[in-house]
Amino acid sequence: MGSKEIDIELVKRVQQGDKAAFDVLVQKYQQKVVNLISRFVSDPSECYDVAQEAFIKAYRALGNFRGDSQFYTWLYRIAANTAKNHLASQSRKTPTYAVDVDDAEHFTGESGLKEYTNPENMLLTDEIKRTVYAAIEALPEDLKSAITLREIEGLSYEDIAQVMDCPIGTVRSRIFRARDAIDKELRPLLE
Amino acid sequence: MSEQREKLSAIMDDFEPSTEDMATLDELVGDVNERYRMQRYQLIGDTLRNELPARIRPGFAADVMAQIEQEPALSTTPQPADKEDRSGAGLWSWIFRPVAGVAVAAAVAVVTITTLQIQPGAETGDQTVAHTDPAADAKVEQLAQMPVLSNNVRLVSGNAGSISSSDGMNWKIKRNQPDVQSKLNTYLINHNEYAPSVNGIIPQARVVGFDGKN
Repeated sequence: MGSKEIDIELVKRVQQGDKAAFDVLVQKYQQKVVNLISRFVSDPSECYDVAQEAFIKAYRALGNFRGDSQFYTWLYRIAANTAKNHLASQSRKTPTYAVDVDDAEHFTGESGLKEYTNPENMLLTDEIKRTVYAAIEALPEDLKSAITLREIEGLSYEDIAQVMDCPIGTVRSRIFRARDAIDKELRPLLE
Repeated sequence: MSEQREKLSAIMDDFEPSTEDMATLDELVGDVNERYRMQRYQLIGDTLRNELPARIRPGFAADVMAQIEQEPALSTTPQPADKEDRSGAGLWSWIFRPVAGVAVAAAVAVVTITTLQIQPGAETGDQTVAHTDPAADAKVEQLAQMPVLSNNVRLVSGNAGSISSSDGMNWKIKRNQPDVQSKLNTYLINHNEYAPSVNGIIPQARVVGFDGKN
């Protein structure tokens, strides 16, 4: 069981009329979707506009989503198609290199957009990064290891428990305490 | 309170449809502050994986949800009327539905291929239109009098020696010669092809002008 199962449950709730469940999905995938779209659309303000359009399209099409693929794969396809359609309508150049949608989730954050970005929001991005990295460095070693193994290595709680030679409950607690400590530093930036 | 936050942290990584996790999910979906917390937890992971965009737009999710609020709520629950309509249909429905689907597809194909549009200078596959002269224009003008099945078919004659007009390559067809209409439609059906374009695959039919003097 993992984070994909929560997507299935949230999709079910949206399909049954619970729009707030879709907010959780937006919150979860917004940065990844914008990142993907930035591969096609160079203007960052347009990236967010296209991403918004993609999420609206995804919501409208969610009634037909049957779970044959994972939600985020399905969402990425919609986002990629929305970005391509945006380019076609704007008669812009095609991206300098193709993005296979199956690989989209592995993209790093480098996008070469710096020459177009709003200085204030760039500062916010940099500030978020600095805050998170500083908070991670300040963590006790066991919390730092747990959150790193989970977020960067993508290990399950069971695997982390084996690596760290501790019970799964301890893994769960360590990851939460790491997130909570970082969140305390991050929250003032976003309020 | 921290117990609830820990549960939220846990279901982000390891969700099971258990009573406890479902209750936590209910809390998450039902409380906007919990959703903001989840967003920050997600941001931590996105930062560590270097998945942040170059520019972050705070309030993006709220903008999306503001638009979603204008949309009708989804519902995949079958309506009572649907259940009544389907009751007793059984085998006939199972047979007729694919047949009906093929019939609809065929009707759509006929309507689609009667929508004929030729762009000046366009090179979609082998589709090009020969230049015409005044005699050929007269012939085209006669063709322009032909009725069509759909109002979407709109052709106007081109200028002699040129394939362009103010409306591009379109001929106006009027509905007053059923026999000619029938021949034209049969021609379109038997000669329809498909060509790639920036907007996707479009139906086409080749129409070639001729020199009436020769």
